[in-house]
Amino acid sequence: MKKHNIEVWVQISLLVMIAISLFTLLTTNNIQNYVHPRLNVYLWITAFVLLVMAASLIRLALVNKHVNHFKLNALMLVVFVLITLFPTTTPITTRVETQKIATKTEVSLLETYYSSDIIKIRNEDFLKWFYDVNTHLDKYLNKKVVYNAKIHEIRGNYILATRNIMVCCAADIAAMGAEVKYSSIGDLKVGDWIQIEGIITQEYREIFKQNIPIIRSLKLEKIEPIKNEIIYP
Amino acid sequence: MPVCDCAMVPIASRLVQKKVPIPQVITFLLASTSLNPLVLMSTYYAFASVEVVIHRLLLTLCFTIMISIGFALSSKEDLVDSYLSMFTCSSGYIGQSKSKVELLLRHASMEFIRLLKFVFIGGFISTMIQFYIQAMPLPILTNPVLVFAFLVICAAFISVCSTSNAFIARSLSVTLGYPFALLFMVIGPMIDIKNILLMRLGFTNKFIIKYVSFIVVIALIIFVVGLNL
Repeated sequence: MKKHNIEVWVQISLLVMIAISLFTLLTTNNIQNYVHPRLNVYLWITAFVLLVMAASLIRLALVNKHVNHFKLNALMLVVFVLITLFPTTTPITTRVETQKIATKTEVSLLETYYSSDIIKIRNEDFLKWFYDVNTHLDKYLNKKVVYNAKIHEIRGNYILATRNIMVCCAADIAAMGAEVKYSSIGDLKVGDWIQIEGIITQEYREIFKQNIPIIRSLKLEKIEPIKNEIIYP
Repeated sequence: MPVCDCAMVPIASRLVQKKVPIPQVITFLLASTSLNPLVLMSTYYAFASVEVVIHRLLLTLCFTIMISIGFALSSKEDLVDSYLSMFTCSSGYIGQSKSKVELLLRHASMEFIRLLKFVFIGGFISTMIQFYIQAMPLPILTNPVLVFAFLVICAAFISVCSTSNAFIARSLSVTLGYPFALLFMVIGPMIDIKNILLMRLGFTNKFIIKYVSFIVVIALIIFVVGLNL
């Protein structure tokens, strides 16, 4: 390596390793834990551009340089190798949101909910329903609802059953869901996925200074974890 | 220029290298954190309220004008890295080539790696802090001093782009109130740890201390006024 520029070789390795990390995350679909799928196409482009950038440095790396500064780049290289070898599958940050936030709503779907006595929420429709039940609670009161969620917290006679929502990237993931009032919980615990069958009621919460939807449970059944845990609005 | 605030810091430091006066650069840097269609749209999307968008816009303008005036009136000595300001390009030696495309790619690679270390270190610090903030019981924060301290920590270390921090602010507004969330949205991109680290590309520590101090003091005044309203 005497006639090579080690500093540039480390830079090339770093660029290639970041590209490999991206390719690995994209091909294994683990990327969905970090960013919204709508950004996948840009990440593919980014990975290819990084490879082209690395290739552009090869001739420069063949020119000897006497003083090399590469320790921090080498450290970053090691970290990217570790990230690629041991990717996390569970998002680290989740914030709890039990209150309404804004979104576009699909009128036809919601009209179906309004006109039905029993509302079965598909996994992909959870967010639309959750927004709407907070916005138009009066249209849902005393109706039966069935949906799947994960137990985020158990406090007193209430379960906070939520789904993780990602708007842009892992940093903005928020766990959203309604409180479920139960009489018997069996052996259910935090982290379990459950199917909730219950009646939509309302209770006043001082923190929100208004009534919020509370699901009075009729049946709580443990289910297998949902494959695509995150919902992307 | 609808890009996120972390892309603005390198542009700002390059503007300084090209001898643009510091108050003007500060105006550009701070205003870009909100006067940006993506930021305004994401704020509306998160809160479903035009009022919140207007509040964010006005508060950002307030910060921008006050801090720019502050820099214009105070001493401008030792604010810019005098060594770096001697060069119009600081990405390093890119060698020689007959192909301009190859030189362009080499330049981009060097610049990317140069910025990467700041983003990398900032991201690491931010992740560690966020990990502990997550475990912190928010309801105990009833003391205004603690709430303000928490606001500054959140703004600096919940290292999220101005284009998406409205969604986190929406969550925080439920627990800590709207004034907290609004200030978080406005000062977050301004004192974000990775942006502060990126500033070392062209500015001195004196500049960074002055810049952060201005923002924290103005935020404190607005916070106190907000509490008394």
